[in-house]
Amino acid sequence: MSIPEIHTDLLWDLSVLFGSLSILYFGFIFFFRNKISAKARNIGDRRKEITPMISNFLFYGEDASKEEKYEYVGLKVEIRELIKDPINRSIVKDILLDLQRDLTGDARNRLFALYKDFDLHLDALDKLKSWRWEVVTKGIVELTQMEVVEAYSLIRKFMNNRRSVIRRQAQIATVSLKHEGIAHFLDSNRYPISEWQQIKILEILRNKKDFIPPSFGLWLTSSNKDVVLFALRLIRYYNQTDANASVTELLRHKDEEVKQAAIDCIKEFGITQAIPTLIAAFSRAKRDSRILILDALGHIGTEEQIPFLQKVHQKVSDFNVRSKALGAINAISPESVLPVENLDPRIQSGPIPELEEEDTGAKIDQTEDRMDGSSEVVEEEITITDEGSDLFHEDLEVFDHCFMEELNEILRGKDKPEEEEETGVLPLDFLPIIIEKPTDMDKKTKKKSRKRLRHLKVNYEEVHPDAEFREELENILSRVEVQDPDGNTEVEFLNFRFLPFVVGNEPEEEISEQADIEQSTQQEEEGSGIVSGIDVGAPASGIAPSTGNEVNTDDINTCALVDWEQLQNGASIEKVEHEEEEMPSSEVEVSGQQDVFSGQSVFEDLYRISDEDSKLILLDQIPELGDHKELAFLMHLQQEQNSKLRKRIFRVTRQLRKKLEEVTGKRVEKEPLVRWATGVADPELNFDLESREKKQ
Amino acid sequence: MDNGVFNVILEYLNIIFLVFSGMLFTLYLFMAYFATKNSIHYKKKNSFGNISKTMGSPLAPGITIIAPAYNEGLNIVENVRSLLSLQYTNYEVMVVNDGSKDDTLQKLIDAYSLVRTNRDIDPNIKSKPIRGIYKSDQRSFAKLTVVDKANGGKSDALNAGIYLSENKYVGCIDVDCLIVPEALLHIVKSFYQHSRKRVIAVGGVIRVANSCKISGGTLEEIKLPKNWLARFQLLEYTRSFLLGRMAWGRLDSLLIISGAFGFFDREIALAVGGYDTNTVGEDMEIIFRMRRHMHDLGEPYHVAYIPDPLCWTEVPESLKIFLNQRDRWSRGNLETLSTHKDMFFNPKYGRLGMLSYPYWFFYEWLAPILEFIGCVAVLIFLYLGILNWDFFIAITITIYAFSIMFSFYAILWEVYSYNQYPRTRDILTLMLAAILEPILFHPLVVWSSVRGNLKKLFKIRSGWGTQVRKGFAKA
Repeated sequence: MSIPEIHTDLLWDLSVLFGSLSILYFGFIFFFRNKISAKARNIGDRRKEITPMISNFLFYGEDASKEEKYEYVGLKVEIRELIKDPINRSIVKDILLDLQRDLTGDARNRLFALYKDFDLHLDALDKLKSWRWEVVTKGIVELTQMEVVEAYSLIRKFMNNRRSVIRRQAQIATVSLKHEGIAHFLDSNRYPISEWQQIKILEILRNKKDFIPPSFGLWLTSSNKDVVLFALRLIRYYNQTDANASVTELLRHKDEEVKQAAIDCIKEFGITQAIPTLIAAFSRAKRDSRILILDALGHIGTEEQIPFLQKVHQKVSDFNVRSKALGAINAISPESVLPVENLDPRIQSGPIPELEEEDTGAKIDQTEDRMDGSSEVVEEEITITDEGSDLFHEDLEVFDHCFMEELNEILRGKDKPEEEEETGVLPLDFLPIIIEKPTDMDKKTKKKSRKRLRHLKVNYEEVHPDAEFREELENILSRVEVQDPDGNTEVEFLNFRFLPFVVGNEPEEEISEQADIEQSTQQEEEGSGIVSGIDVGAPASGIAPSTGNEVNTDDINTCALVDWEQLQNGASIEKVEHEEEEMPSSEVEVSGQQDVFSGQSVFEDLYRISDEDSKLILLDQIPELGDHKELAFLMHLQQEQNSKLRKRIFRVTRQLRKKLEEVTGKRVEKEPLVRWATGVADPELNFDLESREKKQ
Repeated sequence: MDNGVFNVILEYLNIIFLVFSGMLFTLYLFMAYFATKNSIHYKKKNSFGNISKTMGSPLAPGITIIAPAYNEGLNIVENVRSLLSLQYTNYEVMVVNDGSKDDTLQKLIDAYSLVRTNRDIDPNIKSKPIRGIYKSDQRSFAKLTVVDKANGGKSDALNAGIYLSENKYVGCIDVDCLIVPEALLHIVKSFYQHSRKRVIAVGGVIRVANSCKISGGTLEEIKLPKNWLARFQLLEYTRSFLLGRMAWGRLDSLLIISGAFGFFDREIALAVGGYDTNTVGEDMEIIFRMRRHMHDLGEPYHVAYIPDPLCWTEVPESLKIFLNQRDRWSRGNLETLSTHKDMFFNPKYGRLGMLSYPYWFFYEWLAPILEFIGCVAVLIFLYLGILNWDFFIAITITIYAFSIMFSFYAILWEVYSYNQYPRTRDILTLMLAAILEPILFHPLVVWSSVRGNLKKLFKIRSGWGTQVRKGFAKA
């Protein structure tokens, strides 16, 4: 008997191979760990550096001070420089993508503008050309999230791509980017639409601002089953009742899901014309559809359908279907079917028995009521509604409502009567006011306290942005019960209109007079602090000796803010200068410091260190932010050798000159000549811009 | 018999072991390949979009999480609280008190202000009698339903839950599992993202939570278990879930969804009659039946697998409990394979019959038995002095090297894909576990498996055993 020989050498070779691979994997494990952690650290560090820059950039306000505006330009240039590095570019893109999820309004728009400004959208568009599905998808996602509407037509081409991930993302993008995207999607989609895709698309539509849904009934005739199903769901979601006949017809659809969606619509819209079709569809429907049909009949049916429902109850074997049939009967004709099981036979209808305990009696009464008048009683279905699902939809309005109720209760003294009796103080501590705690309030001092209440020192605090809410709160406050120390209560129709309800985004006019007075007093005090608080002997660096009249850099910035706002609002420069002249001597030095600070254009340094691209960006910013100093700076730049830059300089100069003309209200023919060496502008020396430009 | 016959038997045995090992290596290498491919694809595919936005969608389906509870009074209140705080709108938590002898039900009633409802119960429900259904009178616990029934075992409790649920999908979990808040969103996505195939079941990774820091029902810090038995199990789970199931998922031939975290299309689960109460391997058995049902219907279907760490559980740290658990698993395996033996190499069931079933038969059920026989044979041959030392040492070292290599690959993949253990010491400990496992842990697995098979063979009655858990709240 021959035995095949086993070559143990092969086994030893395999051992060596597996051993070597084990060592290799050991190395890989630590290589990957180190790589992952190093990458995470590197990205984290860079993000730490870049994120504040972008945040500052995004959240700078139009009413920002001049320094802030200059900083803004500087930041823009700095970011521009940073994103020349591909890693930084990717980080900036990621930061912007992260931020767009949390931002709304102006900041969001600015974010999108920034994304395009840095040409990041071009990178995303490049990704669309890749052959790798994940790269193309990434590009589409990026363009969608950053709302690059220009990419709509490019992305639309991928909507019927054979690669599912690309296709789905393109469909989402198509719906996201344009309002008409949904119509295009439903029209041209050739593939099945997964349930998840439907959820996502509906989510996009739900969050679309100013979206006017098309009539989705148009797509009920589609040959794509999923399009019909999705259209039905959209019809239901948007309560479109213009396609009831088509919806009813879809009860005959072969697909159970379509059928069920149609039943849901019929139930939701109360399409009574569909009742005969519903009944006809019942016999061929599956269990879940049958339950839905019965549920719909319970909602929209009449007593005419009861025989049918009784028949279902008698003939169908499925317990849930039978239960639903009974439920539907009871829904149409309440309590026509009553419970029979687990009932106490000793309790019969008749004269009211003597009650042992009050609660028991109540239960017996209920039972008697139910037992009366029915011989054909069967178990009644009790449906337990899932109230929890509503929790998600609770929002501020509900909170407001609850708050108002609680407020009413507090004011009625339901919650803490003891405390009121003890202190005799109004429970107004929830109000946005600070009330000096009254002591020993008696009848004599009640009037006093009321008077004092009118002169309360207030802290302004945002209460609620809703005007209705405020109005309701005022109404309640005007009905406040005031309790005296003896425990007597009387309703005081106090006029609480003097209370400083500071409501977000409301004009100042709505603030009560008293609040106005106090606020203005406060502002005056603060203002005087700025004016009179400047130390004449303070060094130019801003480090003031510690006296009572200190001025810090914030104060200087405040001055700058006023200056800027005046400029922005079209106030004349002369007026500002005039105001500066009128300032006490102590201020002059500060103004002088400002001049020294701002005599040289802030663009100059940035411009010097920037490359061509950055210089172009800087120049573009000048018309928006610049003034006479920038004009002089531009004049200086007109010697520029680079023709592209020189052209831009001339254009910007014209724009700035035009802007200054509008601001000052007079033609700026001559500009201040600037001695760049010292950075001090000489207003006496001007020259003709136009003639210079012509010479150039 | 002379030495010549013994030598022939010995040599043929050696050849059988060699071929078996060679096929095992090949299969494992294929599995590693498919798992890697699937993981990369999954990672790329799921790197887009934010799924949390969809949780409140009016189109989001209803899910019932069924958590059977038997003598869980110690931690039931905390566990249910954790289940009630998942990130999803349309879901219900159904705790089925399976005739607990302790105060499980009373604790639930007290903690969640439960009142008995008058809901009709289908008399045809295939489970032990249902004593009552409870709902909370507080709105904040409206998602909670507690079913009180006579004791009938885990499968029976799950069946009661499946029948009583009214939602489209049901999740069968262990009540003491910790489910991450976004788990249901992943589940819904898995059920809903296929447009051509019906997803009938979704399973996920079970992660080991021993020694992890858990507070208020949320996982605060992931740590490697301090107990070596738990560490070995962690390594085994990593290998099994990240490589094994991922590969079977790629081939759409997944035959098991863990009983601790499995979700089903309720309609299909009901159509196959729910869980089989006569087996201890009910989690595997139901998948077999659901798959067969879909094959018989001729409808395209899919069993999905999510590799993200969504469910965390405690593994046994006591040797006795561990051996009982593995004993039960092997019995369950045998019961299921024997129930569906007509699928064995049956082309009617496609990959299921030609690939999955044979794999389970040879490498999940037969391998430990062969290993045991091999060990016994080695001892006999050693005693007889006819052991082929060259071959014995060579094949032992080859298998040992392969085992370490495969475990290292699993660790590498864990680091690359999820990197759950950030401390270098933890990774080194896991590697040490990989080196020690074939010597210290694997013999225990083999022994418990053989014991389970022997029990089944000799019809020795043995139920579920008990799992004493420390409880997350006290971890």
